[in-house]
Amino acid sequence: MDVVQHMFNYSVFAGFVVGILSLIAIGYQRSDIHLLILSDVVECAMLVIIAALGTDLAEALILPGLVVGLAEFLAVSEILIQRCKLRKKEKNKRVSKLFEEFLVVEEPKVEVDIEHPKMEILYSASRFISLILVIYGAFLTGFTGGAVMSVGLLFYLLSQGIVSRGISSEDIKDFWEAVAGFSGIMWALWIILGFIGFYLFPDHYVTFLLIAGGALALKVGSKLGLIGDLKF
Amino acid sequence: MDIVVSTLYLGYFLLIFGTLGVILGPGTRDPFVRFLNVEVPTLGVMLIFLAYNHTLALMTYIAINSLIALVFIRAVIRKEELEA
Repeated sequence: MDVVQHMFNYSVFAGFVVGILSLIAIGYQRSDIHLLILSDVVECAMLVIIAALGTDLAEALILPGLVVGLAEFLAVSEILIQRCKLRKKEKNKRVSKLFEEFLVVEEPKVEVDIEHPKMEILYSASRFISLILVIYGAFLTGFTGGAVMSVGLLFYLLSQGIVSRGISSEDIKDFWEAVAGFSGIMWALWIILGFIGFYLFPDHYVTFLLIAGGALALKVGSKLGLIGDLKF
Repeated sequence: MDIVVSTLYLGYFLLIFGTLGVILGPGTRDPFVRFLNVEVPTLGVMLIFLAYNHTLALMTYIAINSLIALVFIRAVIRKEELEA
């Protein structure tokens, strides 16, 4: 008997213990912000119960669950802040941007020249390494290929930012939206051309499989590559 | 004992006792300390994912966790600003 079947009961039991404990704690809690933290622990329990299946189905269920969990966390925190505002009856209707606490208001002026420690690899080999990663990701196709590809893009953009030959901050927004639009087109290729092609023309399934896999790789790669575009 | 099974048991241990630490542990009045305590059951979940060979789920979970930390710290900052 393999380990997945053998450990199924234990995993579900651990998940239920954690879920019940944290739900009891939520029942006794009064403060809003503590409720937010404890709901994060309940999510852990949910993930462990799903992961106990141990198959590809479990992985396919976990991935959207994580994204929904993040969106839920963001929404609940926003609701808490708004409720706090309403309680205080605050007058100023200043609309605040998302994550403006973490953005730099103005660039700090530095008088002296700081000599950063030079990593030679960032100057000489960044293009080569990223090219290898992108090509390898394209051959892998699918979600994993997209992840490998995105590592290449991230490495290239971050190293260009450090060498300060990166993209200037004026056209950063245009670039961002272009890549996001590209990712949307790739999504359409993946779902519409790839998947519907399977059902309409089953004889040519290899072609549509390649379209779906390649489009998914490009989509994930371009989307995660956006992270490397941020200025740190 | 197989190394996979021992990873799984370590994951269960961290998960259950980490949850107890989040609920009853020392310094849980401070939201920041409580949030740092959540990292322990999170590590348990990661070990369980590792034992079940869920590579993509593990990768995404690590990324999502850092994003959740950002969102939470933002919520605490805004709340303190409003209450001050």
